[in-house]
Amino acid sequence: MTLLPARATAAMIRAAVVGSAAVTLAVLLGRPVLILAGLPLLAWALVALAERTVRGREDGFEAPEVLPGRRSIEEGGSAAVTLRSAPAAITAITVPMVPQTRLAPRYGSLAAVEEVRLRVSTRRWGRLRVGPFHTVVTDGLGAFRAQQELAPVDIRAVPASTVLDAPVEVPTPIGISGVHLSRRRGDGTALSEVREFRTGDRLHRINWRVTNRTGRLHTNATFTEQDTEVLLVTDTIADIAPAPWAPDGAPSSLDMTVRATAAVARHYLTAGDRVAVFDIGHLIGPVRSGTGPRQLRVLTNTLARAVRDDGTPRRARQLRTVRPGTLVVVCSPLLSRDVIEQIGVLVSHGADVIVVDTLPPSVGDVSVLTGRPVRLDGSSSDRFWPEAWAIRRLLRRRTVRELREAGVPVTAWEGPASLAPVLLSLSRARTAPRMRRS
Amino acid sequence: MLPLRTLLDPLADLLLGLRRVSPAQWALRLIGAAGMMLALMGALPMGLFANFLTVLVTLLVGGLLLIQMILPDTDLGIGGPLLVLLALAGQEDLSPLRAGGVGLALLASHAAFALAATTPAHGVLEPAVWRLGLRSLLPVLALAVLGAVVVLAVSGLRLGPWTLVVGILAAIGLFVAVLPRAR
Repeated sequence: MTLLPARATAAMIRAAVVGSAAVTLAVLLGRPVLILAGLPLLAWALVALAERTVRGREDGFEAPEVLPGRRSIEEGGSAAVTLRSAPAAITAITVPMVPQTRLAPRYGSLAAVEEVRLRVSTRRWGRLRVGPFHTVVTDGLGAFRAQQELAPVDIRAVPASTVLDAPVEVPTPIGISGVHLSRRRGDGTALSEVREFRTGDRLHRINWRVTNRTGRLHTNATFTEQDTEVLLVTDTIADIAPAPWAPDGAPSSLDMTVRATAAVARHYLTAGDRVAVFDIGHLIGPVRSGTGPRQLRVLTNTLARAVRDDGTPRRARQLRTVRPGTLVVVCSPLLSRDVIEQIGVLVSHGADVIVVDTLPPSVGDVSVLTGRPVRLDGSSSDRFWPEAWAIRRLLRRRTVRELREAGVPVTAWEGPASLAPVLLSLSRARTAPRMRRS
Repeated sequence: MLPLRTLLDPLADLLLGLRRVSPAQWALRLIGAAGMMLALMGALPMGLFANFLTVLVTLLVGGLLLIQMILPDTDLGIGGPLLVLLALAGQEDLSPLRAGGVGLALLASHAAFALAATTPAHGVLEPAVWRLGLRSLLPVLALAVLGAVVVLAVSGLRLGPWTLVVGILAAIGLFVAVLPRAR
């Protein structure tokens, strides 16, 4: 047990001096009644001393400790940080405010007896550092005090992986077995055709109705079902903050990227596909291909460990090869030339690429431009940032158009329903008739 | 326009800062201030602004109280109770009831400020803290009542001038025993 050395507070000094002064004045002036005015404070000091001796706190208070608790929570969820301290002592903690976090009590300062519980609610994904905890332990009267600074606690807020409102079909299934309908005929459930029985066909697939009508043995042929490889490419080169006029809590480009990545990963992992992550901006780190709930856990934990952008520009990382037919979902604000080139490389390798646009909608919003400098918080900046972003968004339109012309669908991330039209159009394009090239 | 704004901004900041003060801290600091004002009124029965001396004492105590309300842990908090004690000592007709009343008011003020000093102004106090604080005050009140009974009993006795020496030595001994060694 570690002891924190305790010191007398200003209140203890006050009580001792005023109490003793009352006794001294009473003796000097020969008026014992004066003692009555200082007696309560003298009694207060004596009781504080007696309590200190009785509880064995001459050497100090028992040092408070942070109890282990849940350190990984969902985005928007909350966790409790609990400190245990000496019995019958007031323990007060004060923590600095953490951005994008709500504390209960509101200003992160709370006094309790024996056990102090601070509730931390996150508004955004990522790693939160709560603390350091400035801890003050005092006795019940507030006569003696010990203080300590406890190390901060890290809490991981896993990005909320919303369930996508989209079909699970993929353009080119390239796995061995799974839920996606492939173009190859084989063992499956979706009917391809009814044809004459051949040697090797399974007996339970014989279509007895057609056999009876034609007099020749017929069987049901089916399409095989396959899984696929889904590669999520994240662009974390820069974190574009929402415009100042955006509503409070509006997501940045990194927020949108991480949320879209988590949602798409969950969508395809639930369907049984293999999902991998490649981060162009070095922020998240690669996640190898894998399947199932474990892979979802690994992936969301990796996303949650990402430290928020500190403003330093990062070099883009290039993905050299990709297996033809891989479904690649690129989550990017489409502002970096490196990312556009990377999309081109992926398309040239035969990947089915979808781009999820994660530029915050408020950035470059022309509706706020009135021909005069935009006023923010009662003052207007002379730097014309809103106008600059509006021009940048207009320039970006060309990139989006060129990508679409190259057969790469681009869809803005607007929540769980964002990908549905793109995935539907991709699956329709797969079954559409094609012109044979000679 | 600019000078008005420079004048209003600190005022607005101050008001915003007051909004952050927790209800528990408001309660403790107001109890502390009320206790001190009661003690002062008990020590100056002729009125707080009766003459130059009372006005001086009132202003000094008021100023120190204001500082203590902002910073309950300040060492200047010692000034108010000492001034009250001196004002009380300057009066010829001091009844035991009034002295005891002033003592209890000083105790209320002192205990409230001592508890307020445990957290910052925006700190929240759980109900258990209030319970512990009040429970800890019970033996203080018991000891004060016991001490008052002894003082009242002894004050009736006529003792020789030697008691002055013994009394002074007792006061010094008490002061040394109660005063903490180091802060």
